[in-house]
Amino acid sequence: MNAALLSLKNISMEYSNFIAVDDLNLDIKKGEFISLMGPSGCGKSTTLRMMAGLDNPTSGALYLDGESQLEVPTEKRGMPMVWQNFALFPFLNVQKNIEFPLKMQGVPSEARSKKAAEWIERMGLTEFAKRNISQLSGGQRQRVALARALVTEPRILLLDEPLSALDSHLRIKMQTELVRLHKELGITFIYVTHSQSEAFTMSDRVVIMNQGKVQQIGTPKQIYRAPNNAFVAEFIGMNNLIPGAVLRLEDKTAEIRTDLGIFKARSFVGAQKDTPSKLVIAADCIHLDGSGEQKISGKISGEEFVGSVITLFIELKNGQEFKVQKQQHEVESLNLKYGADLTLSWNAENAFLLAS
Amino acid sequence: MQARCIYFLERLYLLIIFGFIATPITMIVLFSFNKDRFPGFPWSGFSLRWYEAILNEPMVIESAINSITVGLSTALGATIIGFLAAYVDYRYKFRGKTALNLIVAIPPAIPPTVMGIALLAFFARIGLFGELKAIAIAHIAIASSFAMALISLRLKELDTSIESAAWNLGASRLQGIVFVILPHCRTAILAAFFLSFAVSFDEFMIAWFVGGLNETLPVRILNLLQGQVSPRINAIGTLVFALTFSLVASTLWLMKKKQPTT
Repeated sequence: MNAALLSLKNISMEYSNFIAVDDLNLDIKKGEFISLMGPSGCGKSTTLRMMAGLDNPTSGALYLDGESQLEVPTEKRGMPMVWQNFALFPFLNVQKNIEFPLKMQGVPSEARSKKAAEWIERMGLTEFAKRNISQLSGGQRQRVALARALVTEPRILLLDEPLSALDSHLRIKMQTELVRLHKELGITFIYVTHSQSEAFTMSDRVVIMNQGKVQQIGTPKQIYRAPNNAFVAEFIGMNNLIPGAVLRLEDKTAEIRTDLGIFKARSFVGAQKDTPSKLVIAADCIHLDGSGEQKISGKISGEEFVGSVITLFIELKNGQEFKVQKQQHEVESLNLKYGADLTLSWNAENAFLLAS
Repeated sequence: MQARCIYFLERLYLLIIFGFIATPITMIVLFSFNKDRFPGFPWSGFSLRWYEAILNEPMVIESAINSITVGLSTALGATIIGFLAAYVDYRYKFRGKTALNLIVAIPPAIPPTVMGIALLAFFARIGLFGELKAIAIAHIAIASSFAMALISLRLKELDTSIESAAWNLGASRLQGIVFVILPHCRTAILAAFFLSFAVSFDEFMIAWFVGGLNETLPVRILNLLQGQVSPRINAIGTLVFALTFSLVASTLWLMKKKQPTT
């Protein structure tokens, strides 16, 4: 046994017409902030619901501290969840909402209101304690939902896209608050999101899922710099992928033949000659001044300007689109024009091959 | 000019419709307070003598008590069954759910005569014929579908994740119903209770078929009418109308009342 607090072993969730979660294995450590991330329908929310006992897997096992959980009913699991729509009780006021889990545990009324009052103060809700839920803003509801989930002092907190109902300004603020809460409480946060920025900003580890399967588990940096496969490389956004076939294999490097030419790159484990694979170059590893050893040409087809960083979209001669990410001042000094020919270049050490 | 003309015509049209519906009831109410034995204008003067007359008639009082007993039993039974059916419909997906919903909706759609004869045969066979219980059971069968419809309507406003959230926070299935579903539905449940009472209180045909010697108020009215046309009937009619009207009005008011949904 390793030190995993929560262990998912070969968990599958099959419906009559599709498989939501496919043979998933995951060990979650005590006290970590772990995110499950993937496109919608990848099985991340189903996985979370299975941990909470709201759905039961069709096969597999779930252990909490080495104890099997699948026979334990939802209400006894002790893994409260923060819901995407908050799922607050509309007919109860803020304080009664927060007291609810204590009431279910049979805590006497006096102790209940004392405990609730602590959380009301901690979450900055003092002046709203007697208000109805409908009178609260999105951010306040979020805090009530958090207080209600944490009032029983659980070991694990489940969060199902909790920030997606908030506007972007509030989302950033709540991220900071969540990280602070996690640090202060020292409990395990399991966070489901489709947002890369949320997952990467807050998590110790990120689990990338697609079509019910785990694609990669790692720290945000590992996933960003060393994606395991083409799906991850594409999903996390700022990567350029060119399909091709392995032409020559050396010790750790290889050459790939693509319809844009032959390129050198780092190889992957188990690569074989002539296997189809994808060449991956991160958008921020591409030079515009021709200083890299690998070269390719194209035309500027668009740009996306988000403050200090600018993303250029380059149309290659086979019609594929390439993304290049640069500092804004760097691009400005080059004086680029739409439709102008441009040479993109990168160094072989920054490019790698992935099985496709 | 033209707009004002259309506005006027619209109002007139509404007035005619309302008049058409309300005139017979208004007549009954008016003549129940008339001194004269025979209905006719001009009014011969205000009087409560017909109300006094019915209060001194044991059979009318008895039938009124019967009606209220059956009405309350129906309201209680139909509301419980209606609530449970609405909850099952809200919470579970299963094979044959559409069929079940259809079956629940059928009783009010069957002609009362047919329903009355069928129930008469059935109750006679199981030895319940002629008892108030039989009337109440028959009324529950009809009123349940109205109760279910009202409570379903309210339940649809509750996101299913809210009850799941209660389970997740430590509520058992029963606690989920008691602390989440019932508080959410309380006005609809009250409305269903009133409406079921009104449905039972007004129902004549089935009560006439299966009640035997136990008469409810509508049955008593018919029996009175068969004997003689007396203004006492206007008095009874007015009281029945007043009760039913307030029940239905309360139902509508409860269903329209704004409640937190979030």
